[in-house]
Amino acid sequence: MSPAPEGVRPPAMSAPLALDGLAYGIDFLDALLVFHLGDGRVHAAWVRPDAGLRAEEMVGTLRDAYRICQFAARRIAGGADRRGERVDPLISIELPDRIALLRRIRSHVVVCVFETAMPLGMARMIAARLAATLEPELPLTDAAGAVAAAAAIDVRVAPAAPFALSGSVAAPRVHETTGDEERGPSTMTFGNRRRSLPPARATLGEQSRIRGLLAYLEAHAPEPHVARTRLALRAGIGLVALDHPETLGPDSIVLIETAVEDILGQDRAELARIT
Amino acid sequence: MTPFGLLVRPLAPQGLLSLGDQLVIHACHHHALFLDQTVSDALGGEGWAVRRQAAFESAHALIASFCSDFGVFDPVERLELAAELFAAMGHGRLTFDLTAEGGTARGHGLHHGASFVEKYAAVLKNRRPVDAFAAGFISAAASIAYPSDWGTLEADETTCVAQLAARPAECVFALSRRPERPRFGAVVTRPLVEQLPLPSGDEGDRALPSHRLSPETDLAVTDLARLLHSAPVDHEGITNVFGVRLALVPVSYLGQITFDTVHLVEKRAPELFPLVGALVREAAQIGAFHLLGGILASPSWRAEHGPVAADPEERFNTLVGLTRALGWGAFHPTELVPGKSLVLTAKVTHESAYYAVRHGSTVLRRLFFQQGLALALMQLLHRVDFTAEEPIAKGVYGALFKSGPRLHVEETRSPLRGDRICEVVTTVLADR
Repeated sequence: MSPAPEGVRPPAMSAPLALDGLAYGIDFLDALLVFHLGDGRVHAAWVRPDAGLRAEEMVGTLRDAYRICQFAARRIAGGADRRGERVDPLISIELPDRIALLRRIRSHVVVCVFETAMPLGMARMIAARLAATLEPELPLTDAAGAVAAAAAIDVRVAPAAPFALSGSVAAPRVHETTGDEERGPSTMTFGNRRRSLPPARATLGEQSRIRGLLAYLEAHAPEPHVARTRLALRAGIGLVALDHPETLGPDSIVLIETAVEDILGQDRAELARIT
Repeated sequence: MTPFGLLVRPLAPQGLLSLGDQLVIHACHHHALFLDQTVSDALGGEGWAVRRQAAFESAHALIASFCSDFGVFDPVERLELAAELFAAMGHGRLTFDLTAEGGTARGHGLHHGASFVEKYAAVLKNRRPVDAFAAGFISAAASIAYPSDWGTLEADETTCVAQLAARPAECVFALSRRPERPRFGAVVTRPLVEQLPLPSGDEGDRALPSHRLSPETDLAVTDLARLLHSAPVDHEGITNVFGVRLALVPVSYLGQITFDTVHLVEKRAPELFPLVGALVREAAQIGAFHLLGGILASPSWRAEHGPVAADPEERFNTLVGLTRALGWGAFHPTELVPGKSLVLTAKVTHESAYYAVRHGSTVLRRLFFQQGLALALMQLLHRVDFTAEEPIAKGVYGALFKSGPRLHVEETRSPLRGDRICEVVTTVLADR
């Protein structure tokens, strides 16, 4: 199967929903796409403006990639002919610049594209959270099941082109493909009913600075063995979070800097110069 | 200058001390500085107000009772009495330039400020005043000297020697009248503590720690009490003994700044409560380590008792005896497995008495001081070489946490939670 020809369906009915609310504040996330596994139609999309990715160009290839992997996964999982038994692999595509994670939810596939600066484990965790948030919002029909069975017969192999795409996209464009209207996203309300929003995180630079501040504090505080406890109390941040700066929010750096200043009696400019 | 030991009376069964009718303890500057610092860490700028209010309440009760007992009514004489009391307690020298409208007070060698300079000048660049206890005491003295229905005279420390960038020569407090009625909580007085029920049971009841100590330990208590009674206070109101700066601190002040802070943090950010508890415990540990270790290592102690016992059991008994002379509570050396664990019990301690009088029962663990004391005892028993030239030299305490075993402490029983006694267990964990 392949996507339905473009231009058959009115744009208003097929416009993918924006996922800005979900994607907001997740560092290193370049794109978040949801497409139908049967026809490759974009169901919802968010692409970081300067990411240089085009949702409508990616989904066809990603759909095919998922199909191929599903075919392979069935062979790996079952060995013998177990046609009809569905296998939904989680697919990771690791490139020098990007990581893409594909996860199936009923008839749709959720794709999260990250920069490689995002650790793979963290990327998987965030992708799982995003998928879990999207799951109740996606159509309950499992229409791609029939497609899955057919996929073994009709698989279109994607061209072996590099994953990175050129050009820039300011916002996800309307993808004028057609499809089953029952699968239309007209009732989706992302951002209002979501179960959880992945919290904003400190950037790598901020994480590095937090580690530097902690090291400086422990080297210069009068009672180093309790320096972290004091800092945690002053900043209102748990000790475990201090041990893992990658879990801290972007505003933590200010709290930590202020606490270090207070503990050591130094002003911010002096601290910035030293650390 | 009056040696403060002469003002102090023991409450024998409880292992506590009173000054006038108020409960007090002997504490060193390490404890005072760390505890104040913890309050500031937890509450920020609000910490100053909490500490000053606690000092005001405890000092007001103390000065008022002395003025009443001695029949002092003249404002100038009341201020002189307050300054004499302040110095006799080892908190430094105060001079007042004051009228009913307000004025200034100056402090020399203040317990917190001067100690801060001595301890931290080389490592910190503090910018804030630290003498909240003195501010509260001055405010109470001024308000008693010049009482008014229009409110109290409030003291703000405008210059502090601990503001290390400026390095002023003395601390200066500005007093002005605030049209607010003073707030007073229950003060932990001798009569109130005497009324607290002690667990009943005969001496054969193994569940109860004994009042009685071994003859050697009893001797240690008596000797330390005598040393404290005759501890010299210099003309600046400073008592430097046992390698620390010693002062008498009202239990109401210590309890109020500790538990007001704990309660506020529990109410506002319960997830931070363990951090406050750990730091309050650390304040007790650092204070007890330096004071108890300093006593054992001091020439005056060694001259009377000889070298410090190498046997951990014997050293444990002596150290626990010293805590009674310091007014910390009727602690009992219940159990010691050298190198492994220690059990420290008491029928009452200064903090359990404070909490019982001021707040009553609780389901939570509140004996932070006893926990810190047990940790300090464990360190003094196993990690300090008292045969060294300076066993409690600068840097010894910090080195304890760079290597060696980690310690775990747990409050297992508390009369505040319905038990008959206070009990804390410390165990040795794996090496760092």
